[in-house]
Amino acid sequence: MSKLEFLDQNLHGQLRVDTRYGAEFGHATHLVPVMAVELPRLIAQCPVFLVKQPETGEFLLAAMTGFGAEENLFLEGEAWTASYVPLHIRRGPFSVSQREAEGQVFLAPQINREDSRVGTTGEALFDAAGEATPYLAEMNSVLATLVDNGPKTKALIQSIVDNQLIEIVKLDVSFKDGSRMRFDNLYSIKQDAVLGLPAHKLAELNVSGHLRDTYFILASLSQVSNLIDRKNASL
Amino acid sequence: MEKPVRRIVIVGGGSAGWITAGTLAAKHRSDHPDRLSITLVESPNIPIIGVGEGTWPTMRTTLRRMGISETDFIRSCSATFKQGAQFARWVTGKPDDSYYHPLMLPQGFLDGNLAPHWLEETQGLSFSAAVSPQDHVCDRSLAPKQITTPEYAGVLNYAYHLDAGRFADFVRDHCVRQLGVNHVLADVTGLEAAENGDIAAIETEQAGRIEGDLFVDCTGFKSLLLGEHYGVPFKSCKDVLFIDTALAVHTPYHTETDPIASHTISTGQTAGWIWDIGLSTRRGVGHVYSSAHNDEDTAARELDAYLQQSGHSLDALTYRKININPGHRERFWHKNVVAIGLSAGFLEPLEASALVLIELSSLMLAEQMPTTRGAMDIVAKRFNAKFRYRWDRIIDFLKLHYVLSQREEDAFWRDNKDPDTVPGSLNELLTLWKDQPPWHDDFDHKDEVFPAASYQYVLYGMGFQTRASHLNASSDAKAFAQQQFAERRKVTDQMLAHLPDHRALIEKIKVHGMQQI
Repeated sequence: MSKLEFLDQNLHGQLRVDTRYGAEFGHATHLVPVMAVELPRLIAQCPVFLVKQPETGEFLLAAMTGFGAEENLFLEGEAWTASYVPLHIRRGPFSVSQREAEGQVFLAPQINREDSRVGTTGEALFDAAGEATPYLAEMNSVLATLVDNGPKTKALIQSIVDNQLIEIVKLDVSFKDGSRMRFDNLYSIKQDAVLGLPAHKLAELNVSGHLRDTYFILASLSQVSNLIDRKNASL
Repeated sequence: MEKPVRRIVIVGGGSAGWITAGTLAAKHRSDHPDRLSITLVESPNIPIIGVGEGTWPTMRTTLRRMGISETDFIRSCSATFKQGAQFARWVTGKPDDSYYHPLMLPQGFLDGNLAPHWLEETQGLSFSAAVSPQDHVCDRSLAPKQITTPEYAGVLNYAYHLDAGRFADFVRDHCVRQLGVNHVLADVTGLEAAENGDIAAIETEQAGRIEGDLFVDCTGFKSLLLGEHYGVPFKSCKDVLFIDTALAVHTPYHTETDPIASHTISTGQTAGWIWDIGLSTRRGVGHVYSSAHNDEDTAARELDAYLQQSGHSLDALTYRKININPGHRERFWHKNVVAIGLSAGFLEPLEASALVLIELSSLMLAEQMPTTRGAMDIVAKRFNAKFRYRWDRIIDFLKLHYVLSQREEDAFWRDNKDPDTVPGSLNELLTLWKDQPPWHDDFDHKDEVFPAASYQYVLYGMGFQTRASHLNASSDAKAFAQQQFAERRKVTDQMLAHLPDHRALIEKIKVHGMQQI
């Protein structure tokens, strides 16, 4: 359930947020939406694919954290066992929405009052003087990064799609207990298509930074074997 | 040296002209200095007929071959997905009488024939419901694919319903902008013959004289080049298919949430039938009938009664009357002129044969394009033989719908069963099928317009009886059939659980588009 409220010191002065990770907070998922800006950190720990949003068919970037639908191999109890935690996980019960006040429309942070992390234990949002705590300041910065990078990530995906650099990845993995899983909903970069681009297109992609990101996505495929190792270690 | 064929001049726009232009241009794009030039000359003053809103699944390949995005097509042509046709009141004429001709082949069709097994153990299911999930999907107005399914791919087989007027404009824009087709807006005033009897050039009022090596006649019913100039005779088939008049209306939806049928609905009337096609913006409804059996007033009254069922009235809508001369030219390619579209012929739209014949003709023309004038007569001979065969098979297949009807009250239906009106080729097949169900070998060509599956759907949908036989009784064959029937049930459950509402998918495509992969 969700009940979204714009953050307000008067309303939320006493609230605290539980900052642990856990399956009960929706972290047990094998695909986590990510932003292009996160690619340099992510590719050191997990594969990143393009996947289709079931509701729109549009592509988004997603880090693969497990194989089963509710399997996150980076989650152990309440700990995240890798150095980088995706922004989408870090933002906790916070999100951003358009707010209209005094005739102006702007983006403002919201908190989900119904989220089970929101209550009386954990990190405070405001200090005794009513100022934002370092925790809230960090959350504001996470949200700002997400807002700033949404359109940039969209532009990267659009450029990959428009230049027909995308291909389906037929992922077929087997584990030490003999079990096997196949995926036909994951997409990555078609390297031949990148190499076959005319010089002016390559230059364009280079200037926009999309060429680098394209290669990051491609390089992250090597992390599939690390993910299999994690899975095998859990068996 | 033999004269090369390089300049193709298409006379007439409309669906036929533009599909031909796009198919030829896409196939023959090259940097060769002598590459084909494609010119389409279209009158700015003659409106297109704009009938033919139903297609075959071939249209997916036709559009893709031209390099058209399916998303753009759906958005620009008010197009929707068609998964087959439903024939209501064709068998007994009673209100509950209906069957489907789905576009999917019966389950396991490439490995075995389910018809004899269905005949033995019908379990109360109609043939199409027993062998295909598509009846069940159509009954619920579900789409044949999901928003995540790539362009032109289907979870179930599908074709389209489209707005013919918008479609011609849409393909024209693509041909001119993307495929380098020369578009000339001009009225043809005369034809200039060459010494060998070919057409050397057309003369036009606005653009002067336009020379060509090969001319495609897409001038509609007028058949200006093939019919009027060369006098290639018209072969009427009114003695077999009586329908010769259409009354067509555009019907709005009541609300933006009315379900859109994912199949063509064709409902039998006293002297013809009514088509009902759901586009994204409106329905196209029309009554085709035999003027020898019904007058216009009666036909209009029946159309009105049909519209009343969905809360419309003919008083509020203006219908367009179209005279149909059922039949085709004796030859379609003569000298250096090939006719494609209505100029080649037209039949009642019962199985959406008009657009598919345009696609097949333009494809054969593109693939068999003669390099020189010398090769042209041989290609023409083959083209004529192939399309004569196709027209004959289509006529047989359309007639099949009528000869099996049990409607006795009206003269139209009784006359349709008169043995003198049934082609010998169809009669022979019907005799054969009394003893064995239709199968691949019953037909001559590997690329039949209507495969054996279509005959099975109509035959058993119409209640035809094939006698049980001592053949097909092996335990292997029975096990295969059981397995396929079970698979059909499983697939149906999956489809009903996962396929979206047809209108909802069309709306989503308008907003988000489909991916190419």
